[in-house]
Amino acid sequence: MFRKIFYHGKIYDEESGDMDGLVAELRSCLPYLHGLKVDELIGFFDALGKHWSQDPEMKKRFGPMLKHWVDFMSTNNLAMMVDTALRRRDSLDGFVKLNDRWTEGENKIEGVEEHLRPQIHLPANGVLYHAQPRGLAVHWLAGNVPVLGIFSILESLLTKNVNLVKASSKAYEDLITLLDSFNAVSTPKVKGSELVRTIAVILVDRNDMETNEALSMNADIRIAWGGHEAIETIVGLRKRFYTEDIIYGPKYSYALIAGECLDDYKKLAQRLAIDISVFDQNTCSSPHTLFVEKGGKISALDFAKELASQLSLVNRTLLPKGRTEPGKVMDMLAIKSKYEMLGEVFSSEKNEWMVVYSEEEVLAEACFSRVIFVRPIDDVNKLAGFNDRHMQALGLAMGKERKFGFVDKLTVRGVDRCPAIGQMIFFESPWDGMFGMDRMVRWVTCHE
Amino acid sequence: MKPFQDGKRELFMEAMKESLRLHYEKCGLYRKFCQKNNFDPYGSYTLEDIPFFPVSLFKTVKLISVDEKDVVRIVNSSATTSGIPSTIYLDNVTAKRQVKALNSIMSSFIGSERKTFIVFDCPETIKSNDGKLASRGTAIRGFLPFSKKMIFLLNKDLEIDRDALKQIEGEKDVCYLGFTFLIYQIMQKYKSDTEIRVLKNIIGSSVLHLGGWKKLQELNISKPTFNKELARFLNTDERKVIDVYGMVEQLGTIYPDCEFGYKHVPVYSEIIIRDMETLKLVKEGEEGFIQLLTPLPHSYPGISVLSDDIGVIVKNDECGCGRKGKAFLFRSRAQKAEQKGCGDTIQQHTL
Repeated sequence: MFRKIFYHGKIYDEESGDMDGLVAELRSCLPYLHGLKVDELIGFFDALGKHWSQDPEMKKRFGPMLKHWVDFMSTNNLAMMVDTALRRRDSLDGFVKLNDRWTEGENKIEGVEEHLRPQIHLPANGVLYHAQPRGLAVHWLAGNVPVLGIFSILESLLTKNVNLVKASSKAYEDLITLLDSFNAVSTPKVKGSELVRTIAVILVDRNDMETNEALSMNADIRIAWGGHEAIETIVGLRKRFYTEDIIYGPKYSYALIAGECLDDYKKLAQRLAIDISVFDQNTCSSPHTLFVEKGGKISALDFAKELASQLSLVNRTLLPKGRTEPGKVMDMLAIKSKYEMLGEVFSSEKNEWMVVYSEEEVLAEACFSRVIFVRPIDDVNKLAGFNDRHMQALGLAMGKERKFGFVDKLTVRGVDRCPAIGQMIFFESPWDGMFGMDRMVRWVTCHE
Repeated sequence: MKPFQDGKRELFMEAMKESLRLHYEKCGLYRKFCQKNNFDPYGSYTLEDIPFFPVSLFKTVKLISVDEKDVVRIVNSSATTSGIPSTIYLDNVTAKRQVKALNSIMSSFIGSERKTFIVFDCPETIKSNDGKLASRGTAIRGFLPFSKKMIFLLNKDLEIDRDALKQIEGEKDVCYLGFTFLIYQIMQKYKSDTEIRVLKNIIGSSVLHLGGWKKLQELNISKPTFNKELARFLNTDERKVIDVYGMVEQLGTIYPDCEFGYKHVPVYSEIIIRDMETLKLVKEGEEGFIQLLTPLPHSYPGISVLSDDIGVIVKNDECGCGRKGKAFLFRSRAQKAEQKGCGDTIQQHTL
């Protein structure tokens, strides 16, 4: 059994046991999606973003995240994102050449800027490529950050897949609000009220293995956002042989500020405070530990104090923290008490945030709930030892001279993203080390 | 002094001050903790001003106020929630104080006459391993002074030992003792077993059970249901099923249910209820985290700790059982904060 909460473009609340019927209805929308051009879809999402940005209710409800979504959904960003993920976005609309290449001429002229150097055209080998949708994308969304699921839904729609979303029973209202708003937007080529019918949102009891397995067996793509236990359960469900899995989480993220960047410490503290506060550190891209390289303008301890004042400011003015659960209050108190004995703690009176300073050169166990551990480090190369596939983002402030060499060495074993501090929590493609959209399509070839 | 009487506040405060000063002088980490909380144990303050830390701190920080050579026993908690046990270092002074407090409190509930204790556990539980003892063993050992004989009902596989049943035959004035969840499991497994009729032949005995409700809560077993089923299983009165609240971090000061279902605060300790979000004092009658204060610990600074148990103060000096002092109810354990998002990181990658 499952509860339909969004279906046929409308908000529902209906118990159902007819998974096959629901899946058949969604699949019947595949030809409609197939008939749309990718640029028409991009145009629709651009218009949808603009609609959101002009809606005061949306602004109030989603705060600073809304601007990120609107920027993300702009024509320029989406076109570039699809082009990058699929080499050419029009490969979604028909057969295209992908292997035409332009290469740099042999006669390099010293001192001439790169884009002015002569290019040589290498013709394609006669093979044409077309990215076909895989079919039905089933999304399992996490309870803590339900709106993150909007990104996988958008990517799936851009690649012309229909979508069945298993939301969290604890947090689905925001997602439904976002999807319902499709109805209010139309472009010359895409009616939101039609496009939204390619998406259904349901609730399923986590212990109802039969329904979860039915979801899995119907999926052409399984997209799972969630913690360790949830992902383990989803991955363990039976699936068809050719179903593609896209797993987002569980991951750990941290940050590093190199000594040469500490001149700008106030700005860095402001930006890091945003990365910490936006999702209360519930996303895999939120930092939990900050390493500050020794030898800069200020010490790690002084940076911790500045970060504390910025977290306080963000909480007061931009992102007031909601209620902290009793269990989390106890977790925070345990950390506070420990580091009042073994380090330094800067925290707010009502447990809205906490900066914990200690001289341990290891990653701290995540506490979440706006708790950041600040630690000095003398040799940044030591960080490479912490990395494996469980690491997602390293928020990085480092001079360009050594940044790329450092990142290259650091990421050999793990860490998928090294965004600037302040950009850590913003979704981008690739995410978790993969171009999601590339895995949402089947590449079909045809010879000229 | 009787264990439950009024007018203790002044004396209790003096004892707390003495204890606070001792730990401030002898335990550097505790001194730093007090300083960070702007607390001077030599200054002027009330009971409510005394800083507290969560009981879970004993899982991550070694807190000790005596020379290690003076430690006579190391006690570990059961680690049911986090998987990491608390470690408590006991010296002779602390151990003696705890035994004295425990004797005094328990006498008020089961009398001072020694009884045969039938323990829902195996004999191996109370054997120490290299000076270390698990909390179950420590708790059971604490009841040795009340027993003329202890019969362990279970074997090391935690099944009923048929030889033990034979030893019980003919016993009359007994007291049952065991851990709540283990008793529940045994009761479920053997409630239709005819061989345990020997237990039913003993009528109207007290049943002391300890260790908390976490596992029964997960099974949706309420306290009234448990009491009713257990009373039927052991042929006794529901009011004689006594839930004993306490913790390894403050052994000795325990809080058994009185016959009216309330837990009374003895003269050896005090409790304060704190708001679950702000940690400030709640108004009378409001639920919150239970803070426990006692001057008894000498070898470790566990004199003011905050538990993640939720309780409410319900009475002051007016319980029908006649015991004076605060009476409170244990409500539940705070749910451990769950991390279900993609940021649910894996612990072995961090320290």
